Amino acid sequence: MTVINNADAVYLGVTAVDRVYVGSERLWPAFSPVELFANSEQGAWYDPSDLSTLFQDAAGTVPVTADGDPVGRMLDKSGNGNHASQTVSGSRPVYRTDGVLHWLELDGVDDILLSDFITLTGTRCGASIAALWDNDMLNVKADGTGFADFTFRLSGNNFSVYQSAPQRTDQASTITARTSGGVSVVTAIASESDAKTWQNGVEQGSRTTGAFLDFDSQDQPQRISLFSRVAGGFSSGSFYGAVVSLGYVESQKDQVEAYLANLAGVTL
Amino acid sequence: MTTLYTQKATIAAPAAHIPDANQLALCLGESSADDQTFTTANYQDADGNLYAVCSTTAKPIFAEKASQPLQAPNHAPGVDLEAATRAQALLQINGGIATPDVIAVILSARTESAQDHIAVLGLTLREIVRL
Repeated sequence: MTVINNADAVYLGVTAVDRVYVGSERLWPAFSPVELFANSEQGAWYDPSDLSTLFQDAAGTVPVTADGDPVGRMLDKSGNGNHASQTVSGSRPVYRTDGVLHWLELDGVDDILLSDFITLTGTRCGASIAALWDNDMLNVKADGTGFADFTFRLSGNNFSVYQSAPQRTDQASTITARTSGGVSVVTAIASESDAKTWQNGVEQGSRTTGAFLDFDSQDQPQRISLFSRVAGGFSSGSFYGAVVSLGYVESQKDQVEAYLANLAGVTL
Repeated sequence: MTTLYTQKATIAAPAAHIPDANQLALCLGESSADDQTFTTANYQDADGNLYAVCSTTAKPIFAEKASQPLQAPNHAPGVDLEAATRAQALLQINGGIATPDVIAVILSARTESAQDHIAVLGLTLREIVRL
């Protein structure tokens, strides 16, 4: 199987194939999160194990090269250009590595990375994150200070979908992904009709009633916020990677979680 | 490769000195946006005095620059040196708890946690309830 894992092309007889499965397990090609963006879905893919995506400054001119360097810019690998950056030098997380794993260390005081503003449309959003965290970790929200402009919020212990005008909160579940719980891979997927969360592959809760995700009814434009609510409430901990996509569906979850678990050294 | 950022600095700016402290941050920092280093005074001491707190990795030259006459850096030629110098005069490095009349700094090896620094400063995060 090692041979097929590294193959650039696979043929069945004289016919080239684009997928190889044993049962339901895909052997080739290896899964990449970029598949969540194959149809130009909005979102982002952050991978701090890829040093070519990390820079010490917000402009992206000074590369991160060593354990302990600050991170002022983390490139989005989804192809959407939703790079996350921090212009204030004192509010940048720190790149850490033990030689095997790679992560961003968050101080819980002022560290935050933000994408540029994005106008989002649609009624679906999903995110998977590998991290150790105790406050807000990933939000999609407008740049205000109130709760009403949240859309999609993964905080220290819960996942919430917010509807504005009038403000409404639908909390899908409580997630125990707190600092004391160790590094977790958490997934949250919401649509216009339901919302569901998982931690390390185990479903945490779901909702199938009430108003759910509808970007078209939210304040626009919005932005992706990592490690904070934008206006305060900072998370301490460590961040190993995340994928957030407006096209994320539950059938993709296992592969995304396996990918992130590998980045974080988590056994699912 | 070894990082140049071998230290961690946690800085508590009393609410009344936030504007001056931001000019000092602009002077000692690395970005033209560093005048937004101290924003919300969301920490308090035992007496209820309010502070804005920043925690960051730092190069060893940070302490050296902080004790020398200030100069406008290339990234901020328009920095208010008068305000920055006022803030510099209030700096107290590794002097213990924060008080409203000093800008208290805890400087240590980078491996120490910001939360430990804040404990040394005697500060706690204000509990804010948003309804």
